[in-house]
Amino acid sequence: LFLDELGEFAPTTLDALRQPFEERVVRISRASRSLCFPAAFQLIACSNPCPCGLGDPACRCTEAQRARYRRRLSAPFLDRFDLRLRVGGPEAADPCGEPSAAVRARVAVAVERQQARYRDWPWSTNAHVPAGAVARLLPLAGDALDAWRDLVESRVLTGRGAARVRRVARTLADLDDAADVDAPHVEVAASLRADVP
Amino acid sequence: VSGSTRPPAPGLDPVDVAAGILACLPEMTPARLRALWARGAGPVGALAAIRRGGVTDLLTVHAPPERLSARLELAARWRVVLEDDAILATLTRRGTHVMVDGRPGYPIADDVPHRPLVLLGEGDADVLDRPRVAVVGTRAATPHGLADAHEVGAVLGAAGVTVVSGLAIGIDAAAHEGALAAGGAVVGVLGTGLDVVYPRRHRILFERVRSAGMLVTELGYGVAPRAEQFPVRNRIIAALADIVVVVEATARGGARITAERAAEYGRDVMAMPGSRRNPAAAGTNALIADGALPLLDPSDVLLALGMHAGAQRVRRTPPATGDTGLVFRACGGDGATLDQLASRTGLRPAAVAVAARELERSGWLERAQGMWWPKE
Repeated sequence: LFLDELGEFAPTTLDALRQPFEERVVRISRASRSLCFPAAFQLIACSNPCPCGLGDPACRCTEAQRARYRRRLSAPFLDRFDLRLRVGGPEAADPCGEPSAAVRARVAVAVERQQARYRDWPWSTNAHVPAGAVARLLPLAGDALDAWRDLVESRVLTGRGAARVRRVARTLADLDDAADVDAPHVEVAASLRADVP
Repeated sequence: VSGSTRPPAPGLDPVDVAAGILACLPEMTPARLRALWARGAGPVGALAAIRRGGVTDLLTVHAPPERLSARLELAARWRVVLEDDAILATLTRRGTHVMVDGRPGYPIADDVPHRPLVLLGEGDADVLDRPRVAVVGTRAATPHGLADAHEVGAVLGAAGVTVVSGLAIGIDAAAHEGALAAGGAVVGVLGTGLDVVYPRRHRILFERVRSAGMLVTELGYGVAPRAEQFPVRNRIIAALADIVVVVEATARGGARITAERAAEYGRDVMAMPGSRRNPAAAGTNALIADGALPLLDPSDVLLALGMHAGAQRVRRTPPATGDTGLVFRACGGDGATLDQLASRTGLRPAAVAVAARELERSGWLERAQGMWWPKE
């Protein structure tokens, strides 16, 4: 599910996404019965930083307009995104993008690793590891543990963010086909939880 | 409504009392105040003239026909208001300082054109006796600009300079906060009455400014915020300051008005330069192009005031080698995303993330709005 211009959706509409988000089912209750449909979707969304969408330096929005626009997306809602990043303008030195085939190969390796890891569990991806099982199933050690603790103690990460970063760090390690999560995986995962939009 | 706990300001004499009451009459404007002043040959005479009903012509002479009845009502209302001592009671209860042009304690020099006849203040009037520097800027400040404003405020506050600003969101608030954090004195100039808190979210800051310094306005109690009152407020900020420092201003913002007024009053204007790509630096860069002094270090303000920078400048050397050196230089004095830093340095994103975190830990970078920003 890709939602373009997230900030343009009514807050009530976005709120209705929360339950399917968490339980991966949609419940529809009518007078006589209640039905349950599967809704295991992946949500991708993008938003402009302000209503005009022109970006610096052409943007003419006032700070109040920007703040109002940002407030449309509540913190608890944004918190449910595993990855949040700001997309900057292109740079002269940008390398040509990696071919999709190469990315696909890396993703396939990561998916296999995760399926093998969760063979005995009712889920098959890092993202679906329940919060209570994160510490046991996604252990950190050595430098990675130090880096994670440091991020939590210096309040770069919030409570909820701290658990989510472990899942993302594990996925980054899977993409590297690495057996253990190391400190750079944790740092990149933390960088992918930006305070945007 | 935030009440002052101070005792009534001492030394309220009949002229000050009359001036304070005049300034607090409903729908008072600078032009009306000036006309009343002239009619009564001063505030005491002006009050007497209102009580006699002898000022109606001042309100109606230039009134368009459709406003005539409202003006007549206003003249009548003033007489009614003056029948009891409610305004005087407010001034006494809140310990209001009434500062009258041409009398001792009036803080604006007499070479400033169109200065307010009356200023009302709450707090500690002694903070006006120190050197005064205004620190102003845009409400749409970058994290960078906020840090700069905070630092300028702190340097001035620690050196015993009174920091004057407008209590607005953004640069104003950061400058006040910096001065307060350094134990310094502050003056907040309002575009409303002294009992109105605008913006609402600064109500705690308002109280801190009132207790560590002074709130000042030319508007009477109860006057609500209106857009046209803020440029006038900016004029008072410029008039109160020995030097005006602008930290981040947009091309067409209120901070530029303050700077232009200050230049007109013969005050030094200092502006912090910024990147051409930063819209919040467009105004400061334009001011520098127009002849404002570029402010490269907060302590330069002290030098401009003729004071010695208290401590030797401690200059830390930014990291120059290794991944941290590459990443720090790649920020180029402005915010950059992880991807941009990776592209500029040629490092892998993982290496950039580790280096950036290292720089964050050692106080060279900070993260905000999904980007990395240099901290000094």
